[in-house]
Amino acid sequence: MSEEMKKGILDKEYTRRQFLKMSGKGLAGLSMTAAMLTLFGCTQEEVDQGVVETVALPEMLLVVNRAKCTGCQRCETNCTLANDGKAQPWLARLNVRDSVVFGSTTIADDYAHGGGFLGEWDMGPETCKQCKDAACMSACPVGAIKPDPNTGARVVDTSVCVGCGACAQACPWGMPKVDPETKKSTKCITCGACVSGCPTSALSMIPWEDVAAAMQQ
Amino acid sequence: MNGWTGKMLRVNVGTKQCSVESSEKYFDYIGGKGMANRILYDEVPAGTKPLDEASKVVFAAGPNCGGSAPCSSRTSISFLSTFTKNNAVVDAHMGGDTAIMMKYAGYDAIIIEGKSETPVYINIKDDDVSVKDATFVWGKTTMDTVAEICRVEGSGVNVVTIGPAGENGILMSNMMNNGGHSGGGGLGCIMGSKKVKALAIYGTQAVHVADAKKVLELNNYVMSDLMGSNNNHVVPTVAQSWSEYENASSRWTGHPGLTWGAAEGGPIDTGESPPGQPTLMGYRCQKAVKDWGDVAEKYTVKMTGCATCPVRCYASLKVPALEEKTGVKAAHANTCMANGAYAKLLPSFQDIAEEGDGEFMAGYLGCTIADDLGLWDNYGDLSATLVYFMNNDCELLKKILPEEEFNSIPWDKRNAGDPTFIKDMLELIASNKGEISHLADGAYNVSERYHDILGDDYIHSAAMALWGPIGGKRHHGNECAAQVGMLTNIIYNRDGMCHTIVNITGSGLPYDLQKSIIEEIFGAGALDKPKAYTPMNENKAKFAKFGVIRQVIHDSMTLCNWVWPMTFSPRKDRGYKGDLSVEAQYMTAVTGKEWTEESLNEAAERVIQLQRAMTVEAFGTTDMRNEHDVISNFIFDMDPDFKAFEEGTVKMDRDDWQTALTMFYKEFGWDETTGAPTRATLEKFGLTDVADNLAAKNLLPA
Repeated sequence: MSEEMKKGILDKEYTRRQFLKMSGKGLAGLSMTAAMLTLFGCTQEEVDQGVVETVALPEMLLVVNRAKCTGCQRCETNCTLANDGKAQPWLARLNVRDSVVFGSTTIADDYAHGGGFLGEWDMGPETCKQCKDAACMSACPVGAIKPDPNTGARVVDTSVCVGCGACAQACPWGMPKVDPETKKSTKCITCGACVSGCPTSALSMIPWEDVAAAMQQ
Repeated sequence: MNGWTGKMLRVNVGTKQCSVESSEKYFDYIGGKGMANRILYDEVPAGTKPLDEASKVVFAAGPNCGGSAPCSSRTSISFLSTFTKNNAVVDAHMGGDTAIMMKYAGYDAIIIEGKSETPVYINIKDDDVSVKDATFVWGKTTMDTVAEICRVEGSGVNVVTIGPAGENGILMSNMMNNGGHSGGGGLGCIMGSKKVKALAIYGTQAVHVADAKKVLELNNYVMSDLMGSNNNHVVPTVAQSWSEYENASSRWTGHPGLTWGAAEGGPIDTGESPPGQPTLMGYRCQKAVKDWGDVAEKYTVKMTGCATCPVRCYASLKVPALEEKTGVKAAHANTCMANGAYAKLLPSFQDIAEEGDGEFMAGYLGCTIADDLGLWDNYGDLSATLVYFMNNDCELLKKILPEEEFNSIPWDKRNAGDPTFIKDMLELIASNKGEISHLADGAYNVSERYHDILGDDYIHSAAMALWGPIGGKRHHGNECAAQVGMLTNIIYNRDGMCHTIVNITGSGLPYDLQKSIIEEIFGAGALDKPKAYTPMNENKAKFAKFGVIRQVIHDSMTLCNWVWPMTFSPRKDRGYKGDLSVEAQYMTAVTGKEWTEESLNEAAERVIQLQRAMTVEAFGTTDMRNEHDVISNFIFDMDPDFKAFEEGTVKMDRDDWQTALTMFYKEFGWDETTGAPTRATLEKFGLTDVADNLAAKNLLPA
């Protein structure tokens, strides 16, 4: 690895840490710079109301804006077409389908004032967090889930995976899935297929370089 | 298998038996509507009435459904009409998530047959299918039913359900999924007669496609280069930095300064969403403002719609002030006619939150209540009928209702413009406890039942705006490309729901540009200038045939004909020309079989030939021209100060209409006198058995 590449990775990691330090457990309550709001495609009010979620991926920042999610589920089909060569939303590396009707996988007693299609429209995808200490990675009995050397994403090495499903069981958000046809686990590789499939830009991926620039303004 | 799942599910709700069969023998009919129509033809004996035990309902989706093409989650549901003449075959075309869930559960079609003694719902989780007790949701509204069944089966389950209207046998009742997505045509009533409250579907399986990369390329091509807004309107209402044209009547309403005003976290500007930016196209259709005007902007939380659709035409509102005043749920979503039809029940409107908002509030409340009751409006049929009977101080209503029933209606609320009058009225109708519920029998049945007092005036009136006296609403007709739009109606046994033509005339492009593109395809004289019509010609007949063939392709693949086909494009650098080969390209990429426009057209025409034969059989005559294809008098008699073909009117000429029928029949290879399919034509499409059946009943033209 060249010195330049090493420096690039270090810069990204530095920005990522700075961002995580700044955002803590979420953006809510955080006063964003105008440059960051523009970059994230959101308003301070959306941030304050907690509809904007960020996931600090190794290579970039994933921004999920629930106010912009319209429940079309194109993110899921794009994901599986791009990664699995078939359309199978259940297998998708993010999940909106199970919460699109009620805004959550929990159905409120007063569903009419909850979220989703039957409530008041709050909805959005649950996505892979690419956890630093990933439960899926720790749970894998054969070490099939590892950081990708180029992207840093925790990815499944299908030549090693035995399809036991321990990763799916371990993930608090149920993100990894064992493909019933290939008998191999699948999980997010941060390819961005979901982002390019969203017709309202409810999902966006922002390179850390851009985040760093915006944070400095 | 690619595209199709190759399986169909059969559920007998009487015996509770569920079985899986191959669907491959129906692939010649593409899928969706085509598959469902052929199954009905094969399995439901002629003469069966919709509420008979032998009556069946077929839910079907096509090979393209589930594969991710834009606007590909329409469910085609075929059954016998409850509300039009002779109960001939009809299709309901329902959006939402049902179709994709059915495909992901592994089924191209679901056949529902038999009758249950007690309320049931059909629970489908991939291969695990059962008929379960629905006593706990019987009597509940559609939205409560979805919530209750999801509490049992899971939050992600798609529940498509009837409401009280269907349970109570209202002929114009529907099934609903995801709140505001309706499958009409009397479907709710048939399911209610079978005591089937709902289907609950959850699928985890794959829809395989032959070439995933090509499918993704096509998606990007369609969304970047071809697709505009709802109804594929390709011109924005307000000039944008990139646009050459603007048109105030377009459904591409999104523009800088217009917002989703009630979005969580503050208004979201719909902004500019130029061609080539598919990740912004969901902001093009601000349908709340389109349907209700500026008053609705502040209540718009977002736009939603069907799975896979990037257009997002469902105005998703939250109106707390209405809930505070009336108790009606604050948040609901629908689109087009459903949003405003029931406001017509009030002669004036109470303001709710601000001056002048009463009509919007009444329409929104009416839509919410009707959807929750599972009461189907049939493109404004029910509201128009109610208004017709309430005109002139309820002159006609007083004639048909017993005095006690008439007096039980809260007329004081109506006189005060109170929107809860609509709620009371719709609940009363859905209860099926009085004579007034017969006004939801459909216009044909209403006309028959009350013919002594209505004569032929009602069924032929402009107020009802039926395409013809068999009882189908005009949707769309002579107002849309003259004879071309009108001809698209006669194919069907309900409202045509054909949007192929109106998407062209309503595209927003200047007429001369529309004309040059359409004439390049169909020849000179195919597209008249609005309100400057010319006599019928053969190119108009070809254009009309294209309209219905494309619709059937879409209802069979399945794609949404409210957006497809891509006749035009929003791109100036394409000369605004669309691409009519895309459907065949999708079919090839998805199924792995080689499809062309011609082969797809041929398969769709097979479906139309079959449907026409089924209609001939249901009507018991070959004389379609005089028994089925008759259009309403108002279409010839409107605008009395104008003659047909004068500039300024869309009225049509009786003799010219007969010429139009003859030319249309010729295009389909039908007998030019009667409009019935000939043996030669049926055999050309591989329907020899259908021809033999008609011949045995003396229903083939001489």
